[in-house]
Amino acid sequence: MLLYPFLQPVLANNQPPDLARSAEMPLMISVLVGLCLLVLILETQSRTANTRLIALLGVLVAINSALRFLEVGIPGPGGFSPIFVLIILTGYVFGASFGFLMGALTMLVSALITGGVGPWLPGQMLAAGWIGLSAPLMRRVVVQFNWTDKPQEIYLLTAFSILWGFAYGAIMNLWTWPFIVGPAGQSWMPGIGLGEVLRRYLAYYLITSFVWDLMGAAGNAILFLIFGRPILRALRRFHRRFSFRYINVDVLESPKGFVG
Amino acid sequence: MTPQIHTWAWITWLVSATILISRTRNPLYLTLIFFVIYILAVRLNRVMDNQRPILIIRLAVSFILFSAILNALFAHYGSTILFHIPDAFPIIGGVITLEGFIFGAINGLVLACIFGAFSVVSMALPTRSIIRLLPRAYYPAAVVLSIAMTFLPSTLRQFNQIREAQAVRGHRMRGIKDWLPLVMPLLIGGLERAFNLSESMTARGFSSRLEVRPTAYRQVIALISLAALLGGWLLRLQGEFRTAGAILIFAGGALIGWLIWRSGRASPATTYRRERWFATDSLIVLCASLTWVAHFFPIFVSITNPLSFSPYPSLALPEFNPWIGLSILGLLGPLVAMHQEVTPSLDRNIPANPETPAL
Repeated sequence: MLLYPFLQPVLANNQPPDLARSAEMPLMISVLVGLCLLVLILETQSRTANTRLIALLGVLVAINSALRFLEVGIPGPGGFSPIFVLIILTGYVFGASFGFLMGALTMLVSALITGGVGPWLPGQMLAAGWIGLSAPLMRRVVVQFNWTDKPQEIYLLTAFSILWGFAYGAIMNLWTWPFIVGPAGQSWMPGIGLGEVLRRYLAYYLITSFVWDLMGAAGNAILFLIFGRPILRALRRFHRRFSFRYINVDVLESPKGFVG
Repeated sequence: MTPQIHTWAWITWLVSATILISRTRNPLYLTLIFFVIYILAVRLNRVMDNQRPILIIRLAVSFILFSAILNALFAHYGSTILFHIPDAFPIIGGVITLEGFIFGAINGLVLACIFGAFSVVSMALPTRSIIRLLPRAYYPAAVVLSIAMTFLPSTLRQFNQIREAQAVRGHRMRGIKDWLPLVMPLLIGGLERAFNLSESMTARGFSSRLEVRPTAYRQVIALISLAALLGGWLLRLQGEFRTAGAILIFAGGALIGWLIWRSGRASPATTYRRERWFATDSLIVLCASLTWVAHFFPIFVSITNPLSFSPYPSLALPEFNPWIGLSILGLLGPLVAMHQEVTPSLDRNIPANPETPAL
């Protein structure tokens, strides 16, 4: 839905942008993204719904929101935020659904406590959710190359966090970019062709967001290199502790004896 | 103390304010909306005996200034040229126009109004009222939110305790590496508490109803509803299919609503305390809704594009229709309820069943 400026050339339409309509469009996108988010949370929560994971998710969201709360008090440079490390690592260790909920709910809770609730919140929740959702993809690479518990694992996750440092800003820009009237070389117009849309968006991104997101990406990298390994170890240890299963009492009392 | 206004009355007020803000670019109406929001924020602050300063004006000034300067530097368009930046400067080189400043300032004002409206509702509604709005289908997510909101103050307290304990041991904060002895005990302590909490929840029978996997049927419905939203959105962007797009979006939204309702039936809910609806709530809803519904009445329709305004290509004074101005004042509705003192007989939260002890 957010990618529609890039899809528009396929559905070519040479109408000029309608200013009166453009005022309503960011709000409309927020409503539509909010509806998509409702469906996604409904689906993902069912996959995470057991008491251990719910309690764990609640406490981790509280810790991450506390970090964001501290960040509001002591703001970092540019787009620096300490919350993405935990979102990536929980998605990486506990799985995609858990990571998605961790990202989305961290944004919601921290918005509630910092007064950051607004039409931009569904977009933030979705983008942060995607970060956690995509983190398990790195696990495949780590397993493939047998990098578990090796420095390469942290380097890979650091590179992943740098990528998301830029991608998060680029996704959030799409909420307003099509409706901003700016210089011709940076503004979206219907029917200008896919190559031109990409070129203009890149120009807009480089001018307005690159430095901001660079700080965010650099912050993610520093935090990963310093905190990544100990946090990963702690999460793995607790993942094993949280992965036990209850055995039905009938099975325990069966003639075959104790089942562990 | 919290003013006696129902949560849904506040939500209606917020939706009305947001619709109004998104429909207009006229700076006169936007300024009026902003001052209405500011009056409510000041009054709320006083009624709730809040000692925190109201930041709405400061934020609005920064939004407007930042947006105006940025737009003027990047958008070299308009007929009233103020000065010229040499073309040797990439991107910002060119004419700087008054129209560019004004357009950016209006964008900043829109942002300030949206931020202000949400801030007022955030101030007025306690978090538990917002969580209570979640449909029953989101029971697991609501439990997560409740846990997070409950643990947040203790997490911050724990952070301070760890910081003090480390300081006593001679730990000094010189660089980012020095955060490690603070962050790790906080994380591990939190995980331990999560473990204990999950044990307590299981002991109280939480696990039995939660582990319900989504059925294939439900997933297909979810996919269809998302496809309808996306298809409708793309159609709406095409001039000639806008109505069809709107119908498709509505159908997708309705399907999502049905899905949520259907999923929620599996999670029985018990309401221990139900909010009471007062006459003032009806008045607030009526006044707030009138602010945008009124624009469909003939007295407003007869005026050509009363809400739209663009400073490009040449700046002209925006129109001001007193009827529209009057309708915007409908957003002041919550003031009616803010003069009331909270007395036991007016307590908004009443037990759903008087015989059920409040938990």
